[in-house]
Amino acid sequence: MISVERRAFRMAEMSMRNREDALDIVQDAMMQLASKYANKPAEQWAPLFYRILNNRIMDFHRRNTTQSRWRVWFAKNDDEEGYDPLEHAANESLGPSDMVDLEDSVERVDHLLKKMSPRQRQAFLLRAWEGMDVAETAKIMKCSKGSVKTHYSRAVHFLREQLQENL
Amino acid sequence: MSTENRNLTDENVVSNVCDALDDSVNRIDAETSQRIVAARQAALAKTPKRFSMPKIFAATATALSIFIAVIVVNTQLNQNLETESVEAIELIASQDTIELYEELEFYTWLVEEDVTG
Repeated sequence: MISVERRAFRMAEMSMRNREDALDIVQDAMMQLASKYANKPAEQWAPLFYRILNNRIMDFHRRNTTQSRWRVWFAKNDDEEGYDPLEHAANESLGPSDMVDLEDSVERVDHLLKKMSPRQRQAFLLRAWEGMDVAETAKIMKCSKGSVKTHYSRAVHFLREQLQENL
Repeated sequence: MSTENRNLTDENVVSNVCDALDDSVNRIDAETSQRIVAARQAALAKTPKRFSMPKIFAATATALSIFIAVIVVNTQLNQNLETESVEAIELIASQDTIELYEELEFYTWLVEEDVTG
């Protein structure tokens, strides 16, 4: 857990846009991992932890969606089973011109990742940053391997375009 | 925008972004870091206590040893009882021996007569 906890916190923070919510969700995920999966082999802990964390993030966005009238109305027009709360979570609304002010590469990347679609961000962080394979990422994101490849490819494309335009 | 930036490859993009993300982890403030550590410790404290495999093996081996010991002792006791029973039956069944005890006075007299005579 030590090796992934800080990265997990950053992932949660990028999804929740709030430090307190991110800390709460990381703690919840840790609690569930320790209480239910402590007897699993150590090499399974990281994927399990991210799966729990991902579920928590989905639940968080689902709750927010339910609380919002507009989003509830939007959800009713969507296919109930295919509805993905992450897809409808708010993205960072800063325009490309805002990037000019972000001198620091950490801030720039943080801004770009927040601007990205949540599913693309998730696929990118798990595949590129956490080094998980497509199958593991698909399990964590509860989608097909093909969807993971698509989200990841679009994420890299988005980042490359943004970096080329703004750096 | 430089030509270098225009020619960013996917590998460069991934590498640069991951480097920046690693830096962002290193920049997490002390208070947040402490709270993450506290969260982990709280989670570990709630880990259900369970028997480790060596303890289970030791307990099983001890129980098995006791079970085998009980069986061995019980078998030996049964064998001793059987031997004693057989001897008792033989003694009871022997007509000569019973006759000896019944006519003990006669046999005593006979022995004395032989000695004196």
